[in-house]
Amino acid sequence: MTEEYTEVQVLPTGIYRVRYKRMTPSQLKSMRTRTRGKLRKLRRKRDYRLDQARTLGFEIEGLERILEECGKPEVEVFLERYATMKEEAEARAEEYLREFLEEEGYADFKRQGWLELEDRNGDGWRVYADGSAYRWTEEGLRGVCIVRSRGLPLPDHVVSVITSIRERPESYSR
Amino acid sequence: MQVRILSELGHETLELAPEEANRLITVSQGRYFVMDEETHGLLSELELEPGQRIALIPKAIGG
Repeated sequence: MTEEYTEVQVLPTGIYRVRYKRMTPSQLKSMRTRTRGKLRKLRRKRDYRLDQARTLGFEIEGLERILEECGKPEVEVFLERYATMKEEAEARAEEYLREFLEEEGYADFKRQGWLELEDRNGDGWRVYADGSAYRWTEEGLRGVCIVRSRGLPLPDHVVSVITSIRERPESYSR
Repeated sequence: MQVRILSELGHETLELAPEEANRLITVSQGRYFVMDEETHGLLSELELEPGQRIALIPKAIGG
């Protein structure tokens, strides 16, 4: 599984540019740490250049504005955009779950927090809103371990679990 | 035809020719159920048609 991330490249001019890539979560974590370090270094460089500019009598206002535009806002804008993207993905997934459970009763599922269903062999199962699944046995409900794919919105995970149980229950019978 | 993929990036929707959709499903090596969006039924044999809307639902891993 990969996630989108931003990489900051410091150019010789002191300006930095942002690139978008897809990486695994561990690579992303490592990249974020390095990015924070690069930003600290860049801010120090920016302050130093501002001092130099003041000493040389450059037009401070314009220079400050340019440096600010090329500075921290880009990373913050990216992080905001990323958070928005995740929220939108969750919303789309929830809407899909609503359509998916149209016959079974989406409202009931949300209210009581679980859905009773039958697999193709006629055995009973219960799937909770958090994506956990239980099988009805003679002793009662018995939990089944189902892994949620990293990054998959929860409603999509629920759709995946319900479909998987219905279609290939033998995979989750232990 | 329209192919919706349930993935970590949200619902990616692609406009593909049936042959391209077939290739995509083959390449994914059985990681997805293929569901007809109109009937909500699973497609066991890939006989895709132009104009059809399908969703690729990831198979849950566990046991």
